[in-house]
Amino acid sequence: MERVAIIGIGLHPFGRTPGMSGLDQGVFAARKALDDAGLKWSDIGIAFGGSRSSGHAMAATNQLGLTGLPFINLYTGCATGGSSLFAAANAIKSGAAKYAMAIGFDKHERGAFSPSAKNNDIPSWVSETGLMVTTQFFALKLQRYMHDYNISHDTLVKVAEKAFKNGSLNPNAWRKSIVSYKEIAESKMINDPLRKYMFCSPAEGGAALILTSETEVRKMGVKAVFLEATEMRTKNYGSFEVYDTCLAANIQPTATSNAAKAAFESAGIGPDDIDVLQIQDTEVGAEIMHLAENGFCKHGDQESLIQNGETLISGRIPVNTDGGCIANGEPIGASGLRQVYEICLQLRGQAGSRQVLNSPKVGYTHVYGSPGVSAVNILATS
Amino acid sequence: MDTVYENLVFDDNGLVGSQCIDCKEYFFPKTKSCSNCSSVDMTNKNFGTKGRLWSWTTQNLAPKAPYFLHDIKEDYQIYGVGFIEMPCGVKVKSRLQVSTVKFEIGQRMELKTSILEKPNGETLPVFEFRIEKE
Repeated sequence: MERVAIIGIGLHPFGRTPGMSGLDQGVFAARKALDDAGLKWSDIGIAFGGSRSSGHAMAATNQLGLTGLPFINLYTGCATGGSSLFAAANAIKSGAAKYAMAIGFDKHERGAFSPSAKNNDIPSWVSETGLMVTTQFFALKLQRYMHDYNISHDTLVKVAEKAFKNGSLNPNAWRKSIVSYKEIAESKMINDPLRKYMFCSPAEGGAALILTSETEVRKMGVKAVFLEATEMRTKNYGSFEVYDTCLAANIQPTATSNAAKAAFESAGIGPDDIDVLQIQDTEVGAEIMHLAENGFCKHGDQESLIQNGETLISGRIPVNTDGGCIANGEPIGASGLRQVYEICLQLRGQAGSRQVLNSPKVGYTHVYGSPGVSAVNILATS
Repeated sequence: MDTVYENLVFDDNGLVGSQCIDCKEYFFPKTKSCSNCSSVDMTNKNFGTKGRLWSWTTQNLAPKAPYFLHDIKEDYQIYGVGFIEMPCGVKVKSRLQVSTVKFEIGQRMELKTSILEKPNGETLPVFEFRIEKE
């Protein structure tokens, strides 16, 4: 099947932007992406967009222009950006449009999300008795993982340290200051073993990508980043996912493992071929566990990988070079697209002071959302 | 055994969930259909009162609404959250009673039913697990 290409990328800086709505930030990102592609909004034949807290993504057409295009709002928790890209890529593959846009934005209130039990088909007493807090899931999964695979507390701190270090090199990041090892290790305990500076926080921002077919790229004579694979999976029976009220006797691989496996099969390459990657890091444990679930190491090998600095920008497998969710914060609709934006910058050699050396050619993104959704992409320069 | 509310069934004799008649998988709380094999033939299953701690954490900040006690910020009591592996193999998510003994994976745990009470007098029966007394 014909490959899909990314020919335009746009981002509104993540963090807090008083005076701009979430939608405004999405429109800002869309205009940036159009400029980058050398296209006009009226060229876009189909769009997929999402937001959790900033209304219907389609309302962005009020500002971008009422061209009458098919515009589909979608929402898959924190994986919303991954899902909108997945849908847009498949629209290009099907020939539904010459140019497609994946757009996402959000502006969340301060503090942790308060998920609805009812919207997740979970009895209300689960949230009323304090058992439906997203951060508990991260901690419960990590606590067991550290026990099973000997991951140290020191390694948790090092992942956060790297996130803030990388964020300090990214002008679009929310957290642009280095946070010391000591500050992280002594920050307030939130859900044992996870402390305050080990988490990402809900934030604001917008991101947009413009896609077309490889044929069109050749006709236009422009440079592009190609989507070698885009896959999305929801949870399968027996996997340990967010909001589960019970776990099966026999735990099975996660939605992330299944999406990653499908993507590598589809692209015909393996994890060793990836030069730069983005891994969902809603907290440090997620980055650690997702590294293995995506196939980048064996379970337990993260300890030596991280201790040896191999996930740093200068390392063998640079992870979350823009600071990831921890330094950028998480505007849900935009977050998965921000990951792809960063990989495009890296593959185009435009990542400035955080550029991975030796011209990375193949990149990878992974986003995870409730109630058990994973979307991954493999991207390449040629 | 009476339903506490919705599909939650427990008393001092144990937690009650569902077992799928077709594929034999267990679920908690009670459920109408099987997420493994799609069957709608479910039967009640008492998982008992004892199990082992499979994973744990603590809730150090007060959860937002609709947490039953969310507005009592000043005397917020940290509670534990864990998965308890019951004898049949299913792992049940539960509140954990915090004590002076640190939680450890593999600890023997026992069911303790209690009542959460708000200052306005409203109450909510809850099940919790605690480290089994020697």
